[in-house]
Amino acid sequence: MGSSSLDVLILNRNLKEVTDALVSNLYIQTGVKFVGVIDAGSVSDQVSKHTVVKNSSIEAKSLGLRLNRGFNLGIDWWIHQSDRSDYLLLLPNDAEIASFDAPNLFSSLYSLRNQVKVAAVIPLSSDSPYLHILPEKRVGLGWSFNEGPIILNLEFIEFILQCGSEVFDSTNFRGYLSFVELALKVYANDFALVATDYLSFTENESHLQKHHELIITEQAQENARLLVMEGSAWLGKKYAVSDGICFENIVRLIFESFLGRRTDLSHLRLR
Amino acid sequence: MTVRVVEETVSLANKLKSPIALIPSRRQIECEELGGGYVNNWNTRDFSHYVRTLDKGGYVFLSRDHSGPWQLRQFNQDNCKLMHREAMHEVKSSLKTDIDCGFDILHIDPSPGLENGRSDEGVIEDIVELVEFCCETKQGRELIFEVGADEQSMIPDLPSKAEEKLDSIIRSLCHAGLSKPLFYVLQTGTKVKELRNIGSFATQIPVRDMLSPAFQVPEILKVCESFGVYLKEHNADYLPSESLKWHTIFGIHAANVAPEFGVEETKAIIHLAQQYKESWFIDLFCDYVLRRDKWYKWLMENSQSTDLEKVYIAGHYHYSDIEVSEFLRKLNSNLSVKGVDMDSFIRMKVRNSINKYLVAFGYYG
Repeated sequence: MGSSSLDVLILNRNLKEVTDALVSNLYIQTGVKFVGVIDAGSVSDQVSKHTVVKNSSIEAKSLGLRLNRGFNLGIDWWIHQSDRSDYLLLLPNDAEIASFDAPNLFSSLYSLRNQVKVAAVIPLSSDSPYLHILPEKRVGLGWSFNEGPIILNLEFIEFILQCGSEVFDSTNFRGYLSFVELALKVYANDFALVATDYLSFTENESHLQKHHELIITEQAQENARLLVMEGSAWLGKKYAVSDGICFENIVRLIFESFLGRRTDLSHLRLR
Repeated sequence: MTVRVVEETVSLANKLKSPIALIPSRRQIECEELGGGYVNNWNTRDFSHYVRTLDKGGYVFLSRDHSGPWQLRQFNQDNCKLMHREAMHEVKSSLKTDIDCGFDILHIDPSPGLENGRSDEGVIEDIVELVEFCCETKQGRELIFEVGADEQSMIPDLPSKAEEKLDSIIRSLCHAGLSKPLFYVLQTGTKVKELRNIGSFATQIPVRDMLSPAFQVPEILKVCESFGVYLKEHNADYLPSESLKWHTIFGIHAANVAPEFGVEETKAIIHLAQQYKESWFIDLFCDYVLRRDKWYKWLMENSQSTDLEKVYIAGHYHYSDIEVSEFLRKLNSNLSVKGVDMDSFIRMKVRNSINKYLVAFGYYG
């Protein structure tokens, strides 16, 4: 594990075949040295052989963990490994590799090391609007990203854990604006969040459409309704804001404030 | 747009003593020589005369939506694809009538050119040519220009790209000795399909290919302000109050709403017909609308819209068709016998629908 720059953990719930195929593809196509699986309450015959950590509680079996709780479980396991790498790539199991150029990504991150502490990297999907405006070095600074694959820097994870917090809020069950909240933690602490297309994944939505009963989740439209309803309640309770746009606006202003102090980084801004 | 929507808009503008623009597309209202429009079969002159007569306080702006080549039709009378010059000639005759009839705001949008062999530069050349034509035609009258395309595009307006494009347009206009437009149209995260707004501004959840309005709107507002133009949002239909309130907080300068008000009118008509058991009307009206395809362009891929929803979507396109006019006249007569004031009920529904936006945009203080 330690010789690679990047370790990978995939979140699985009852899709063993899909998850194992992604593990194989990562080993074959990318050259990463370690790929493990986080299991979110799968039934016994759907647990991947690559599983390194699992939650088999009654709650996890009935409701799953979703992205926030599942990623946190993986982070908690990973941080206690002695031979971990400097970066952790977290993937949902419906991710499919579109491009994987880790050497160039790390070269870009290395060139930024004296300018800014990069907390996390968002691999842009092939349909991301940001692809049209990435700076020359293929990494750009931003705050407004959708939930999905993410690479976390060990230094940032350690910082968050030392604060007594967690990277993703476990009480935000469906992960409403989860990456926007991450951007708040990042920029409020003078780290940065960058996006790149050196690594890129597509989301295979057919798994959710075909297997939502196996995954034990709602159909897409119902999930979207619950995402906003429960997410708005979470936002209200935690931040006393009335809606998602209000919260995003707060994070935008924190980002603006960061760039106001760090004008040397303005050329990397995604806009 | 319908006759009642026009009348209620004029009435509200005068009641509130505040400006509201009526914004017909070229299919809704067009000059007589190009066949007129589907709204009450009005041509531009009749429509303008009707509104000006009704608008006692002079609060209503007449505004043209999406005026550009290929915006009315793609083919000529010989069923051949309109050539560029032909399409430009046609839109100029439409614009000349708009100006002659006292339109205040003209939205110049030659963006269909991109699907008809024009390049990005060619589309900007068309904007300049059309603005220049209007300025030569207006003979001293004050005219407000709006440029840009909404297109309900799959590609959002990234601030840096919008800045480049607006810069090119304004440079080209200045080079031709023309003033910059007052309004510029940019995507804000709105998109109308079926009977709802599916854009990120409405849903407040991530939408594939769309940016969050909290990211996009403040940035594009900065772009507009840096060029001294106002941001005009299109497709503001069906936005919930939680989203509308952000329009004033962010400072979006203007917004278009259509076809929500026409849909509300059809819903009100169907509701009365259902409530008072006028099933003959529902059968005939629905059959008429469904047999035509005006609802088709509003459907989502793999749409699960019911027939009734398709009628809600497209009913108002047919109010002035002879058969539908007769259905509506007979329904009104039958309801009147039952003591129901159909017109007042529909007007109340339309007015409430318009008022949702007026309240959100601060018309009531």
